[in-house]
Amino acid sequence: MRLLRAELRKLNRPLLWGVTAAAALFCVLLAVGGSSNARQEARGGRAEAEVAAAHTAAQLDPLAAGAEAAGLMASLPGALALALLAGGHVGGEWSQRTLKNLLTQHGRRWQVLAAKLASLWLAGVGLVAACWAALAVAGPILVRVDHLPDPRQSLAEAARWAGSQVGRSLLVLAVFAMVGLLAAVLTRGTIGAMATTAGAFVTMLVVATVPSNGKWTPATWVQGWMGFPVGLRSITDLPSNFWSRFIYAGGSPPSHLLGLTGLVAMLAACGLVAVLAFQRGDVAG
Amino acid sequence: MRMLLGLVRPSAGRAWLNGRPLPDPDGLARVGAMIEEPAFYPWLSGRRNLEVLALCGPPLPGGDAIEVALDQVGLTPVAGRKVKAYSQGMRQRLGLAASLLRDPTLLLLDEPTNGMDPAGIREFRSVLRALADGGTTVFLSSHLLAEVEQVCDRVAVLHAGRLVEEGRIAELTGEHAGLEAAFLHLTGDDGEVGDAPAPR
Repeated sequence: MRLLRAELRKLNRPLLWGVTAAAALFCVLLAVGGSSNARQEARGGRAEAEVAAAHTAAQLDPLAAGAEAAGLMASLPGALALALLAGGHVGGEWSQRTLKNLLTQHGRRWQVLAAKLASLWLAGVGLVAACWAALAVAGPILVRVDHLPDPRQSLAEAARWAGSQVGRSLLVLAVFAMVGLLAAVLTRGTIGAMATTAGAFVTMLVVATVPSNGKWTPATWVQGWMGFPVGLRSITDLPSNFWSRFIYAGGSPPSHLLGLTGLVAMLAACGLVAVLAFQRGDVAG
Repeated sequence: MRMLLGLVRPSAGRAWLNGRPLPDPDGLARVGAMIEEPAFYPWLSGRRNLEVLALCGPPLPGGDAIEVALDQVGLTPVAGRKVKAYSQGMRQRLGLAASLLRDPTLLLLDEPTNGMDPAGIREFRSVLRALADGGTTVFLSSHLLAEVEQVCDRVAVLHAGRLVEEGRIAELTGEHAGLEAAFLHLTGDDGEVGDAPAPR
């Protein structure tokens, strides 16, 4: 716990606040666009557009906005945000040559890695909370300004929706954090860690566009576990995620269970490789 | 020194630190180290950097250990300033403060006076002397032989990765003018057997 406290103190830095502000701003801008589009679509009076506008209003409910925030952070925006944080927080220990200080105070390297992972994951959870808070403030204002219809969503429904998605996003954020940690250990630098982590996520999505890969890619496991809908909805809708949009829409996504199994296996495999590489690596500079 | 601290894996051989065989993560608790140029988190203050390092290991020996260490190296007045605003010499002092946090029985220092001003070096010397007199073993590596001559009780000369000589300063210098002359003689770099062209 002492190591984790040390890592959290180090995370209190301009990079974290910048990434958090950017993520929250991104969510709000997305909400502004989605709400505005829903209003324009609904003006035609079509029943489908009315339903879609009500759905957007439901997404922007202060409580249900947790689902929106979790969906966005458990997809590409969150992955890229964690890539930046992994580069600065983990890779930076090599680039700034501070790792030797750390390891001469605490010689058990696997514990150092565990504290890094836990702090990165907590940063990811913090991103979800910040985005949720931003959407909870902006959502009701947008619904009122754009005169979106009442979604007739009970408090319990909203809480269940948000709780489910936020809960599921915790595992996805842990996987994203682990990929960032592994990239930092392998590349031993800020830029290398950022680029490799971001590249890994993009590669996951590219691999998932190949129809024959179907259920056996990390990207589809994320999709299955989070329950992201298959295929492209209208580009003008407020998206619940930035993930399934890039995945082949022809196949059926893996089930929650397969998604869970795949992600846990990935977490374990990346963790094992990271620990082995870190234990064997010399600290120069 | 990096091998003793567990930063580099030895390819062969064995080593003991404070009487314990390596690797020994628990043994690091009583070892202070400053390896080459010390590095810190630039967005944190000097004091905050020490607090973070204190959290990275076992609890400090006293509640005021950070303040004591800062005071020992003369950084108390600027401890609240961010490290990015520190000069090289101030960073060296902070590195020394970090190595003193856990009241070490052994202090490993690699080129510790790099970048320090003359007043800082003088202070540094007196800190090391006080630590050694108090029973701390100070193991210092430096190319500044005049500095070594002033600070150290015993000296070991390494050349091409091998121990050439080891002993008290007086034993090593012997008939030589000083440690530098003795070093050059021991390593064969004193020009007596060299083939460098004579200056014109």
